[in-house]
Amino acid sequence: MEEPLLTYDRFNPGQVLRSTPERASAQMLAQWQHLYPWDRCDAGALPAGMATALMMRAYMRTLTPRPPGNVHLRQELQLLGGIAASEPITTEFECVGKEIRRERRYVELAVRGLADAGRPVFTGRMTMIWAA
Amino acid sequence: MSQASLHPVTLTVDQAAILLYAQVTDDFNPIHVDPDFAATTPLGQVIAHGMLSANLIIQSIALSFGTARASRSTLDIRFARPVFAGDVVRAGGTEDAPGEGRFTVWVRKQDGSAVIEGSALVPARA
Repeated sequence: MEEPLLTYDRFNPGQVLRSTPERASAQMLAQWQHLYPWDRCDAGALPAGMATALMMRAYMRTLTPRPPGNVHLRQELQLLGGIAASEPITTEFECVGKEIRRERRYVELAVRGLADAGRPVFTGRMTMIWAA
Repeated sequence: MSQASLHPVTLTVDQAAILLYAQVTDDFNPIHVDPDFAATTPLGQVIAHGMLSANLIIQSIALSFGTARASRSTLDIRFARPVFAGDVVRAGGTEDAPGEGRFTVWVRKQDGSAVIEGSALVPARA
C-alpha cells in the first residue's frame, strides 16, 4: 500500500522522523569529488560538506512522499566534527513549528545527524515552504 | 589584526553538475533534472538544488582555514534566488570583525546577484 502524501496538515510539532542509518559510499565520494574537485579530505574521512549530502539523502528518504514544489528557504547548520568515510549516520528530523503566512505553509524542522553511539555530527534547522 | 576574507570558490552549474549532485543526494526532483518538465513550471527552466551552491561556502571555509575547522563551523543561510542550469556561481565571505571568526557569507551569480546570503562562524581552532 502506498504511503499517504506527507502534507502540511500531517506535521505535528514535537514529532520526530528518523532516517535509517546511511553511510557515504565510495561512489558518492567519487561523484562529490568530480563535482567539487578542490574539496579534499584526509584519508578515511569525508569532506566537511558531505555532511550536508547525508542530511539531504536522509531528508529525501525519510520525509516522503512529499508534495511536488516544496521550497528550501533557509538552512542553519552546525558541523560538530569530521565524519569517517564508512561511518553510518542516522538523521532525525523534528517538526519544531508550522504556520501559514500569506497563504504559504512554513514548516520548521530541527535536524540532528548522529553517528554510532549517538555521537552528534551535525545539528541544524531547515525552514521549508511546503507545497500542499 | 585585519579582517579576513574567505577563499573564493567558483562553480559552473551546468546540467551535468546538477545531475551529479542529484546522484549524490538521491534528489531527482524533475524541477532539477528534467528540462521538459521544468519548462512547464513557473520558473520555466531547470533550477539547481539549493545545497549544491551552499556547499561552496563550506568549501570556501575549508580552503581558507582547513578541513578540521570547516568541520566545526556553523552556517545560517537563506536561499534568496534560484540558480539556473548554466549559471556560474561564486562563494565567498568577509569577516565581520577582526579575529572573531564570524563571517558574512554569500553565493553570487555571474551578474553579481546573491543566490545565498547569511553568516558563518568558524572556530578559532579545530
